Amino acid sequence: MRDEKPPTLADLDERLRKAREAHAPRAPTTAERQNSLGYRIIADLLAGIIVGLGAGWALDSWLDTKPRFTLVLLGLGFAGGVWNAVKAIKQLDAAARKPERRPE
Amino acid sequence: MEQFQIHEWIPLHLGRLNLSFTNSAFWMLVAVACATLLMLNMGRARELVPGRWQALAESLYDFVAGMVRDNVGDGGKPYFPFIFSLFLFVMFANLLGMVPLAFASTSHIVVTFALALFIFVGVTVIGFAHHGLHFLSFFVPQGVPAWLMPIMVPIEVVSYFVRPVSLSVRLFANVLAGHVILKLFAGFIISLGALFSLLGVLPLAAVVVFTGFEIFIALLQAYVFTILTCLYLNDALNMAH
Amino acid sequence: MDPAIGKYIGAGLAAIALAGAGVGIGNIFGNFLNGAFRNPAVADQLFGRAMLGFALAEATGLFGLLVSILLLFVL
Repeated sequence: MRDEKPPTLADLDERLRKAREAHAPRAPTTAERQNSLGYRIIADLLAGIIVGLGAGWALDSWLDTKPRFTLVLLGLGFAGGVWNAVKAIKQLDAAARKPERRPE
Repeated sequence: MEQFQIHEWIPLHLGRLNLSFTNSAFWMLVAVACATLLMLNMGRARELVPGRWQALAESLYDFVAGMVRDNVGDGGKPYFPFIFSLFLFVMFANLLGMVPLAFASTSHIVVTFALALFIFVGVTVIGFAHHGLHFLSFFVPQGVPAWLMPIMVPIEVVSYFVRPVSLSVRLFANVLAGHVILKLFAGFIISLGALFSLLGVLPLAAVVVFTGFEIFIALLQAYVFTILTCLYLNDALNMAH
Repeated sequence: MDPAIGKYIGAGLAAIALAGAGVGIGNIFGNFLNGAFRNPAVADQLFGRAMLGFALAEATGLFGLLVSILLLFVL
């Protein structure tokens, strides 16, 4: 018992097009791009600290010398995190500055 | 001196580590919450003619941005969020210490020394990352004859390593001395004002005036901490020495 | 001599360092006023640097006060 017309091919095409547009990946806006750059630098810093802490803790649990290696490797991990962050900053700086230097 | 006592509110001991949540940690969290609330909520309004809170958030931002721009130059822009967070944290931690019955978290050397140590390590690593091993020429001042070098270079190195110590002790000693003097004068009010004597008004006036001075010192110490960090960052980024 | 007496005497002697802080701060603000009277246009900029100088001069005096407090309450 069919009360309504079955959907035509044109209707189906329209619905398909709309669904694809809604789920298509859009280009990020400027604010989103800058947000992601900021989070990338934070991730560099945090990764350094967490890796340093974890490695120090593991070394201490293995050698049973409780706070020394944890503190030393925490400091080294922090320094490494800052190093990576600065490298990322320099790379972003160079990338941001390139379009100005291109001869037109 | 018991105003500086650390109380463990939520004890948490892992073996030999004491990771309890103390009153110092709580007040530091309150300082962070104040800074976050101020900038996120009050800075979110985008009216062209700002209301009071938006004007406060904007003027703080402008103040620290001007400080970074003047002292570090253009290469310091990536480090502005850190300098701004540092300024807001130290300012709110100091100001919250002035609230009655609150705890001044910066009155403990461990807090200020942790801040200063991380700043020092961070700035040194930034210097090495930007200049490589050429950063070591920072310790060799220009225009000094060669026979004076063996004296000048150790002096420069030692004065470089004194930086985190002086940075942390300056903030710590200011806050500690201020709170101790306030407690002292407040004690005088009781001892001089007992038994209906009107002499107790004098230390009361002194406490009022000194509280105002302490609030000024709280703001000033936050400013000095931040501007010295900017100067150290400038030394690392643009070795103009 | 009882070591406790030595502590109190040492605390009193260490507080003499604050005299240097007073001289330094007076110096800084005197020079600031001098400069501000000669060139009132840049007085605000000068004030920022004067505050920085004040805090640095006070810091060295407070290092002495810190030794005094350390002797009295910690050691």
